[in-house]
Amino acid sequence: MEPLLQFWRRYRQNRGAVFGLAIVLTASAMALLAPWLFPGDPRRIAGAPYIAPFVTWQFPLGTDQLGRDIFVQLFYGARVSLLVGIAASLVTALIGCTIGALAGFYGGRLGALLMRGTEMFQTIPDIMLALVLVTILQASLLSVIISIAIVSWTTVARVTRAEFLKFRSQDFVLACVVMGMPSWRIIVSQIFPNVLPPIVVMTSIIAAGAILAESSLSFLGLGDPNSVSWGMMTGAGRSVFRNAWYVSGIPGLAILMAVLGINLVSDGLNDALNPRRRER
Amino acid sequence: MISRRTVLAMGGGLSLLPWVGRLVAQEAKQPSSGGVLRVAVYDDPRSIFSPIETGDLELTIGSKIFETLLRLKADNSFEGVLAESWKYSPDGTQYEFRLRDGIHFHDGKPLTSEDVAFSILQLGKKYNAFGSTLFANVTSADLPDAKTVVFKLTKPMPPFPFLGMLAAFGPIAPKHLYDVADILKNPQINKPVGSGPFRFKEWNRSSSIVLDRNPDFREKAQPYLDQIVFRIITDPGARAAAFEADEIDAGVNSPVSKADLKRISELPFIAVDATGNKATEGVNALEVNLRRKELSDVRVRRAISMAIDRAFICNAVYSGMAAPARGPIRSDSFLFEPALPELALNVEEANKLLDEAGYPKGADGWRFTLNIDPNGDDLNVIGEYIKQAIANIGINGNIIVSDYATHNARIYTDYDFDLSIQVISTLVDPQISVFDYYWSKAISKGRWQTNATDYRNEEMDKAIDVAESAIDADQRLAAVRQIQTIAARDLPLIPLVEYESHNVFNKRVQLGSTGPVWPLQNWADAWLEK
Repeated sequence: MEPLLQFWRRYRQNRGAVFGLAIVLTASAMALLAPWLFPGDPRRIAGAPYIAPFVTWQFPLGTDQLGRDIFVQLFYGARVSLLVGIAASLVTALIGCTIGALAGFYGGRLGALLMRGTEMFQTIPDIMLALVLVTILQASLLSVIISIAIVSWTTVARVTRAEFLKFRSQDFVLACVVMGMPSWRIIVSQIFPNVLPPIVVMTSIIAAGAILAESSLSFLGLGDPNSVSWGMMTGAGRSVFRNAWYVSGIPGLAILMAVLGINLVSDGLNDALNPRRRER
Repeated sequence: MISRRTVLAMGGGLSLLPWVGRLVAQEAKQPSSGGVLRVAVYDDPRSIFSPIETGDLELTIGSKIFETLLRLKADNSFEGVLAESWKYSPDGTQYEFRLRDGIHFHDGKPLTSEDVAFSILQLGKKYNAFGSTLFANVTSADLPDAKTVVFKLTKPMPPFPFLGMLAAFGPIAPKHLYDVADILKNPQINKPVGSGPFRFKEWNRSSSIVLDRNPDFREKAQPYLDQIVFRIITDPGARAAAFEADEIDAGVNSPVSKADLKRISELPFIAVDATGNKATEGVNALEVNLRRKELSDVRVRRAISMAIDRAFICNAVYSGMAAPARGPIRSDSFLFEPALPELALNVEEANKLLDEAGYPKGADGWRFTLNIDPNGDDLNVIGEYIKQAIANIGINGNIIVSDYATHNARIYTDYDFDLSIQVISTLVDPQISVFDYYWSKAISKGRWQTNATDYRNEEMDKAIDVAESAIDADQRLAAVRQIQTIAARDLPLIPLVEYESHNVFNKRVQLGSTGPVWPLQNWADAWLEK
């Protein structure tokens, strides 16, 4: 309990990070409570089209082109955005850490091969590759998560490799080698805990990026057409933007807040996990 | 000039909205020469060599350079452009055209009957997407002299679709320049040389296409315009802004979104016209895959049709610029069958039909699941509405979004769909582009916009056969009406709405001669008010 409390003490020194955490918690609450607060299909036609926000209590944030409740869709949209953010960043971390750890620990030919592969992925513009992948895999939530993970693991791999290179020749690792500890155990139980902080920070940034990427894909009409997401709402509303700004404006604001919140949290994590700043 | 305006006034009255068609208010004015007409187009065309193209973009630009034998007028009669007169044999197997005097190509060579025969038999029939079927029976042409061409058909073809095809999809190109082995790969097609009032100047990819006045045009005073610049603006919002900023003068085939149109039309210098595309507008419909067991039952198809509130689609998706459809042919066409029933919303009856058909609701509330394949901005929104509409009758809709090529492959090659949302454009005559959706002989794997539903009905096939060869107008009309009656009974395609398509102009643009395919006219008599 004590270290956790210490961690929180360090974290809360960054006011922005606390604010970010509040945003992320709100979004999570929206996502978790959506089916209880608003049972039924969030895309159902509930009223007249184009009711402006703050006009009637029945639709506090108004209705869209087909008369669907924007407020309800916003809650359900949080589910998709957060799910994609979490799932894509976890898959990204998994791929990135594995490749980075192998490349960094073993080096040599294997390392060179893996890093050239990583560079190959880095040369392709992220969003282009994601677009192509989603098109090939056909638009669904799973294919969006997979394609985001495939385009964003490279940074994690490079950071992990750099950290592993640094630790590989340190005394405690060499001691383990001398003791005859198998390589996989050295990687997992000795080096990995030490390289975890930068990876956690990196992963949280990627989560924010994943939410943005999902929004971009959905905005372009490549998201899962059968679930609500903020990007899809923004995209659907763009043709009527001059006449009914709120149809895309409100979910756009939600995307902004969520991404901002996660970025602030990762800032806070960076500060709190950085041992050199512990004394501050 | 007076008669042209009268036609426009009549057409303007046909629009669904009172503020559309204000061109009516124009007074008789003396045309003045000079000026550059700036026209917004939505993309680079595939080519400007319109004799081999069928896309609206390619034909809109190409029709200023390459002319057709005739043009379609608002009253569905034809007026000669290159042709001075024409006649056809009573059995519909011979069509004779006599060309005007003094027509020259841009390179100075005269346009002769040989060029006409070459353009239709060599270019149109081989390379034009519709030509391969509609000119299929046109096997040869007699050329008694340089000004006369007689097309010989092996099977009779009614005059309206044949002349209509020539008017919209039969531009004439010079034989001496384009009679080459592989025209698609010949660089000459990027240097179009025709007989039209405008000459090709330059094509700056993804930016603009510039056409200059042809000073040697046969009508000495025409064309009135010095230049036409087609500006390529891909985003509809940007096109709307360009109209507002007076950066473009005209846009055809709904250049701005329906949502923006009303706002734009309220500007004092903008006019909106709903008559110029009448012959090429269409109907949105659900193609139903009858290979699927549930959908092969006509009661299920009727139930789906009854679950749809068409008035809602008109308002929500088309901002009121659409009307509920009753069949595959628009209700403003002279071929429309007025006795077709209205397709009304009736959820209760629809649920009853599905129960009768033997598909009760399961424990989860669903009877069965259907995939919905929309493609395109408006159609995607319709797809979402259809999903909600059929949920009301216990059918679970699953929307599948794919890119244009994949979508068409799913529908027309793999037949891997349940409900597909499709625009059925009439393109002058239903024989050109509508009958194939219902004809069992048009089931042809891999060919787009044909019978993908697997609908096979002898009665329908017979009616189509008659409609495609009846020379007598009344006999043909009866057959076309019968097609619509059978289509409404069997519903292999479920009609949704007929939408209106608009041309938008700055009020200084004077259209000259108007017609139901105005974008494809040569614009020789269009002019700009100073």
